[in-house]
Amino acid sequence: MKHILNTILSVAVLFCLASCMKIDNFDAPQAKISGNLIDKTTGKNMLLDHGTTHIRIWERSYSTNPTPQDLAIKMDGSYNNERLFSGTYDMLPLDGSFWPCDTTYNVAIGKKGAVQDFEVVPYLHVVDFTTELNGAELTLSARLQAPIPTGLPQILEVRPFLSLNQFCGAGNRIDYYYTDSYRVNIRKNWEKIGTADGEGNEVYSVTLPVKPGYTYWCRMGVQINNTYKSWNYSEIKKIEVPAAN
Amino acid sequence: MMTEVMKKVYTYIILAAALICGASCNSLDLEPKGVLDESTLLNSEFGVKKYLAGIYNDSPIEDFLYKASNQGGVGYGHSNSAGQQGNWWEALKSYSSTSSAETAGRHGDLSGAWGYWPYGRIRDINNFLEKLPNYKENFTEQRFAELMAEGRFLRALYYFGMVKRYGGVPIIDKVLDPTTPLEELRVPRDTEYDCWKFIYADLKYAMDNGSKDRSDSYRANAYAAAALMAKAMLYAGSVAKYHGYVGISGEATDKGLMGMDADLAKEFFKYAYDACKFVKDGGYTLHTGANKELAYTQIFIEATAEDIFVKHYGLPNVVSPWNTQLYHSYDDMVLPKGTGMSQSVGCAIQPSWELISLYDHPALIDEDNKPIRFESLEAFWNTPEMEPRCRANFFFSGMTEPLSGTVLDFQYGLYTEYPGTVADGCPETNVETEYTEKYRIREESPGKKRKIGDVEYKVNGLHGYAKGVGDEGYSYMGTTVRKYVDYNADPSTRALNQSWHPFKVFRYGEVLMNYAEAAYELGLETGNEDLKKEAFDYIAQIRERAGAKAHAYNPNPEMLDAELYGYELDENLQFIREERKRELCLENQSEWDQRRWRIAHTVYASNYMIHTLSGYYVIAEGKYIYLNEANPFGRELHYDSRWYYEQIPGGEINKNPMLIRNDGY
Repeated sequence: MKHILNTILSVAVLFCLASCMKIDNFDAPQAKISGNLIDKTTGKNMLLDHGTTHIRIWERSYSTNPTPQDLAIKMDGSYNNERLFSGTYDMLPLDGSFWPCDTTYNVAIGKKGAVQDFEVVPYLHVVDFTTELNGAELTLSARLQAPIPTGLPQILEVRPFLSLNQFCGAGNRIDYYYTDSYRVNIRKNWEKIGTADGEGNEVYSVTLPVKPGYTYWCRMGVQINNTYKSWNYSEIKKIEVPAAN
Repeated sequence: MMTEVMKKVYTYIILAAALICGASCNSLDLEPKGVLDESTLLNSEFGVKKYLAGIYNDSPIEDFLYKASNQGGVGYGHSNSAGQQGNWWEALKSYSSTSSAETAGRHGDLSGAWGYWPYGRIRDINNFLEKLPNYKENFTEQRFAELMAEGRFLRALYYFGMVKRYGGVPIIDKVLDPTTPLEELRVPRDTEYDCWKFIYADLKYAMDNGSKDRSDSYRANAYAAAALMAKAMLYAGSVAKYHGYVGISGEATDKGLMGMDADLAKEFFKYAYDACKFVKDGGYTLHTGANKELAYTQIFIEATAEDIFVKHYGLPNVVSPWNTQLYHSYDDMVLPKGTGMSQSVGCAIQPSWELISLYDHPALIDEDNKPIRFESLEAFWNTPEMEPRCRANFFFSGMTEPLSGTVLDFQYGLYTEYPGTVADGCPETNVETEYTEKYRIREESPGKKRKIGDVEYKVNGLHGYAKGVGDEGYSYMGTTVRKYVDYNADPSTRALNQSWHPFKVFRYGEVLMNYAEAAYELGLETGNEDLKKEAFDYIAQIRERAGAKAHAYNPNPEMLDAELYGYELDENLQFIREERKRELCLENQSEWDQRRWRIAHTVYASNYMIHTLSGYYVIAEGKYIYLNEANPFGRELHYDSRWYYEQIPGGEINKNPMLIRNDGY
């Protein structure tokens, strides 16, 4: 009787202790992918906003109808992800302000790392971006260029974006300036505001009050009437407003 | 001896066994007597009423209990869904008027979906429509047709609640058997066009066969069906005409699940037009009276010739014909706190200047951009220049609240003097400027006085504005809501969960507004000048009843620039839309109007600030001024273009992979 009891007890103890062990038979995802979203017309990286444009990926090696994942693209147009499962993926840049592009099929992503660049044509370029500081008033101006003017969605508005750090755009902005008084309301098709070869007719400018002693990062953006109401941006300029005496 | 006893026992045992066994000779498969089944419910007028009561109770009616904004727990109020008590007192905090800039309130954000998917109730209705014919002999032929029509109306009402949110949804027009193979139960979405046509067919049947009895305003008759037809078809026509401007594309759009071809618009406008005519021919009239202001308030409180379909409430402890267990808190939530008024919350919604300024009213600003001086705060509204309908919809400073007899006072503060322009007194929210610091005086709590020099002045009103009391209880917009406030109620009902005055789901005033818009849109689509002109006949009736100045049809209208709404708009149509706001404000209509016109993402493209009507006393001049300031709580609106269609609930997609997601998310 005692013998049996002991056996039962020791088996029970073994069972309980088993939970103290930590064996996971599957490695953490370690496959890497990186690359750039390149503006086909200039050859440079797209000027983007922090966290608004994505690359959607589907892992084909696992299922025929996989759940998509979205990789974020950085403000400088590059992206990098080091926590994916190894496999074959389809990839598509999405929800940015560029003409829809084709899915890139069967990209092999493994632990060694893969590089995949995408070339897209932006809806618009914001060019000739100038800033002029006049006391506590900042005037921003820019002009538009359309790489492909035909069939362009309606142009909604041009806005300045200001930020107190180097991340600047619709996703990271000083909300104070996001009002009707500090924008150029357009809501017209390209034919009414630009030429057939893609040059914008007008220089859009907005004057804003700024605070002495502050450093701003600013840029201008133009919004387009596509599914995501996305923005094309100018480059970012840093403005230091001198302190008032 | 023992054996005698044993024998007896055996006999009993055998007898008992025989009894038990014998019981099986009777059929035990009896209908339980405590359950109301279909044979009881569908074989009499009363039973049908019972069957339909729950369906009515849950139906998608945007009433006092409807929460529009996602931030406040969105949904319809009702009292009988399993495990849910929906008599939401807090509904006014996320009322739909706040989502459409009619009022300032706590929650106005319309983002996100709440998973409205009432196929359970649609199954109940389909069951009714399938089984009622088995009991046809219990009704006269006419009554049977009327009940079938009522069922079809209810199905259309539920589908309207879904189609306006999602676009195309699966059309289920029969009771599905749970034992059918799963593949057959997974019904894909039908196109948006087919869904609107399905609603059309149900309502057409309900109009043709429905009851013409107008004594029962709480059950849908043929005219209620026509009123819903007008509303739904106008919605469909507007979607067809304007959705293209939103610029969203993707799979759901390509497959016709979101949006329709623009040339389908005229078909729907025609249906809406015909349905309005049907109601008009039914003999409904606008309620009016010698005192236009008073008569206008009666529309919402009393039973009038204007009522088509009315939602009733009733407290359990109140003797009422409608002991519905359904009640609301409108009076307590919208009136300010004070003697005989709100007892607990108060001022959860407060009218915006954006809305009030749409009515005929005296000017507030002169040609030099300075505020016009008034002899008293009353002088703004107590003048023939002010439209009676506006006075009937809002309480202004100096008005007497009829039930309590309390004189309302919303004086915002004092100015020692006011040398500047309007802009000087209206800085951004919560910003003090040199100007306001120098001249303006405000107080922390309501009804304060202050001695300036030797004289004591009233700084602010008893009912607002006071800086220190938060965003409820007292007015920070300078006015409060009067529309739908019950002036006949027992004063004790001005507390939470104690109001039970009815909600006018369809009234003739709305039908006339639909009539005008459908006629004008149809006129535009078909190039018919007479129809456009006809639209202004209905506008004239509405304005005449409201006591507003007459407005003539302009045969050569200008086109408003696309900057305003994202598309060019005929100024006559713009006037019709504004008249609709004036007539139907605070009735949970304009949230849906701004959606179907597809203007919200353009109008609210920037952060859209809501403005006050703040009355000040200027000490140096002994006069009063009104300013339109940015509201002190920074309440503003934003609208994302993808919200015109809510996303199909994720749980439903998991159950039925045939459901395609809406685009833009």
